Amino acid sequence: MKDPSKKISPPKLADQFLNWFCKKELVEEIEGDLFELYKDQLELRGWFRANLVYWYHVFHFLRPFALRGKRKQANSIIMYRSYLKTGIRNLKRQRLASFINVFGLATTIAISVVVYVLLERQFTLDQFHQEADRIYAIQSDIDWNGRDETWGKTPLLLGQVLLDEVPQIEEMTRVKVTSGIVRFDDKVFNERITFADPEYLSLFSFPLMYGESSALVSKSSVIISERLALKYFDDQEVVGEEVKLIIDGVSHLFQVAGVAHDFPDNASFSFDFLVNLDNLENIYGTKLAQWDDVRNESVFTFIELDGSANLNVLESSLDKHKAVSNEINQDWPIQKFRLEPLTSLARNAQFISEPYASGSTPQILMMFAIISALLLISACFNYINISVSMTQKRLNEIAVRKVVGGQRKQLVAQFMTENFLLCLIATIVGAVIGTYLFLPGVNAIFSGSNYAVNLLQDPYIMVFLFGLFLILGLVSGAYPALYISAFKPVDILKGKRQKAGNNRLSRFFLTIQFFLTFVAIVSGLLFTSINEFQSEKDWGYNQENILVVPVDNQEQADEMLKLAAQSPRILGSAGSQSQIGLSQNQGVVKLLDERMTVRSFTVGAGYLETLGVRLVTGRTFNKAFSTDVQHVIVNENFLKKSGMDPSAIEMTSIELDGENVTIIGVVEDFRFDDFFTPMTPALFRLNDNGYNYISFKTVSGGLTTTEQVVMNDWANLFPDSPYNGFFQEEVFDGFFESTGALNQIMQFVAFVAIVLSAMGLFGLASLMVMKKIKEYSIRKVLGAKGGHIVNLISKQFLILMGMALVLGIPLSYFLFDFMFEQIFPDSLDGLSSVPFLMAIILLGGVIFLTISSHIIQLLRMNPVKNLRLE
Amino acid sequence: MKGTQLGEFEELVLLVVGVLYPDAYGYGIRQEIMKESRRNVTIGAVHSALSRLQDKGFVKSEFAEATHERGGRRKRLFQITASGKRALETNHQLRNSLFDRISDLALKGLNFEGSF
Repeated sequence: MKDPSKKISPPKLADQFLNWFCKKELVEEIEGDLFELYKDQLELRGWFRANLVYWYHVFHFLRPFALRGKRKQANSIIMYRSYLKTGIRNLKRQRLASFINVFGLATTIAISVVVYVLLERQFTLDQFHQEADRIYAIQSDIDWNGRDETWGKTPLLLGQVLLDEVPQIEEMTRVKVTSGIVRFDDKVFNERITFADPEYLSLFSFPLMYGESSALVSKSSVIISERLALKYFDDQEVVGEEVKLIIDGVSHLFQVAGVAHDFPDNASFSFDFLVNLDNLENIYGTKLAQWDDVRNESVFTFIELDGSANLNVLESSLDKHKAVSNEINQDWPIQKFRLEPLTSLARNAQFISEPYASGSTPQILMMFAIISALLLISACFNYINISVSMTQKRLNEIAVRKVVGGQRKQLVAQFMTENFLLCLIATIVGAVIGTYLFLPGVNAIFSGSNYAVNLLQDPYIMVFLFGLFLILGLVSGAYPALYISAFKPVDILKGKRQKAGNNRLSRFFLTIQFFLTFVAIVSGLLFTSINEFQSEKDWGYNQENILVVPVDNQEQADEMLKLAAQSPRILGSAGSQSQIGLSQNQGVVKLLDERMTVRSFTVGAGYLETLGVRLVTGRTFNKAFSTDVQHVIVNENFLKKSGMDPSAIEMTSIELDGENVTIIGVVEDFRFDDFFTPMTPALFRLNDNGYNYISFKTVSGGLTTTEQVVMNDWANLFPDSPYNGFFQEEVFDGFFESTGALNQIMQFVAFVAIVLSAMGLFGLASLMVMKKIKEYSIRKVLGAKGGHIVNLISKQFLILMGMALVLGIPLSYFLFDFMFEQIFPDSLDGLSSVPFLMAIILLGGVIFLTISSHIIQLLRMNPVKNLRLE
Repeated sequence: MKGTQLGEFEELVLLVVGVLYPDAYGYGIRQEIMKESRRNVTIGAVHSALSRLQDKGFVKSEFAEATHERGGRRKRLFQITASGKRALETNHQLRNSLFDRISDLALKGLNFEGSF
């Protein structure tokens, strides 16, 4: 088994570490013992665990008896105690400076904690599944009208065939998600219905609270989520109850066989109503044993591999199955089946069309990470500036320490100790603020999110905070400690040092800080203005006073339309299959030499009038013309993209999905996607059958009363169906909520940046005033006016601000111009100058207010007092 | 100097040094303690206890020959001294005499099944 010739070599670094701290005379016997230990562990548990155990034991030699030279330097421990004491005294004496430092650092640390938790969530999505590293989702790479696209779904049969054919696949489950009506007693709601193979519950780690997961084998069983159990039964232990699932008007009876535990916060997918996949056959008529259309009858396929599987080989063996599928579906041929690990599925969800898992956009998280890093840097600069300036008061202490024999090394150690003490306080305060103040704030801003961290039990956050503490301590403390300890005691005692020149580095830091603050203010203002701009932006149709009621069948549609005719509050009504902003089809238009993808809205006659879509030329659909089903109405973007001549557009014939249709009108561009997405070509088609939605146009202000009437009628007419009506103006609420959240965060960041730079400025200004206090006093004695002194002091800061602006204005303009172009493609034509002007005024105001306290102090002071003091 | 009392763990180590004689050294002692007492003990803890015992004069030690199984490093072999033996005996007697003075009733009282 074990190769005897193989040399046993314990980790070298651990040996070096031992040699470094351990007494020379003990090293040999200890190393010998550890060597034997290593040998035993190697045989028992393998090299990795053996290395770990080795390190563990090495660390356990960090005991007084083994430590080298402890007795020689017993003095240094006493000295550190003394440093700590002087440090605490200093923090107490310089209350304001300490507060500024601790507060600044703590705030930024709190922000880092939040960003850490957001990032951690993103990177641990779905990792709780026990076999997560061996589970893969099969993706289909598709040629979609000449464009490569990845689809999250595969043909239905693929998973079954693979399971029989590839021995390395341990388990496989196919998943299809639809929606249906679930009814228990008088409780009727639309629910998400998950159809899956019974292995779903063993492949994924969704433990059940009640019931057996094996029950899913039965076609009449359903496993429900805890949320659903409480919603329908007000109880969790509901195994054995019967619920009705209504799909397309047909009822199916299911027996509750299990209730799942509440899903973890980092589950990017879960289920509410989980039934056996075989039910697709009796409910939807899906042919389970046939290769079928990749678009309509496709499912998510997950496989769990054993350790021996080679992914590349497996992927290429999948190739032979694409031919079967491509024969049936020639429009969107599958290029390749690809395996996506479950561990990265949520993170890559944004690149997959119709993914099963969902993750937030990493770009925004990256932006947060960068912002928090910049704020941290800003707080460090503050700290450096202030601590350098505060030593001005402690010059005598430093000089005396040096004169009585303190070495430079010891002074560095002293200042570093003080610095680490301060950073420690800041880290603790920051961690607490972040966890108990900022995280709940984030949860309030992003509705439905549940971010939390346990400071004392989560080892990762502890490591993160400790690392942050070390880095902050070193970065912020090194410069002041080295700078201060280099002073020559004679110079200080003679008083030379006090008159020494300006600190260039402090000015540089402050300039950078002004620059960062400026950028932060601009971004806050820009987000606010864009938010306002969008909420007032024209949607291209009249979205106000429109009530939309989704319907399941013709009967419901007819009843709703009848109701509209009777009610005086309803000005107009129309049915449609698609709904603007909510649902539509994709179509392909064949132009001369290329194909263009268009959004296709199938609507009833009168729909355009009801929603107030504005006609540019031509006419809208008319029920009286039977040929109108062959006609389409396009948007302006369609003309732009296709390059058609707008004046001669009417009665032009185009080929849509292989069918010849004629353009009879052009409408203004209307918003069917949110403002993150650029406008694309779209068209309307006429179909007066199979309505999915009925839209009502009500009198102005009559929306809620109308809805009440409709709701009552609905409950009487259709007790088996839930009422799902909504207002058309709500369709982009999700979008406005997310931009609003972004906006709030940006404003908060701008606020923190302002406070931080004001604090840094305050510290530096007090230093500069202090340095030149005699100069100002003499000026006053000689008759300088107040304005003159104000001028003298503020001038230097205005110069710094000017430099920051020279740097900041062009840079931030290009940055934000680029960024907003990416985020809101259709919203802006260049940035307005207003936010930039406002940011300049705001920054200038803050600078002036901050230094004015020093100026007032200076003006009120009796100059003789300062001059007499020597 | 500190007192020459035996701590609980020190006593355990001292006993094992006696048991393993003449081959009592750090790692061996640790293995024996783990085996007999089912406690998880680090080598560092054993070495620390041995160094204290040596300071108190209860054990003495010398290096053995270098062996291949330790990567060419020498073992330090420990041996109980006369005062170490005395300390063990004192402890042992103290315990025994105290244990003997516990009345039967008190011991029975601990036996729950019998007392109800």
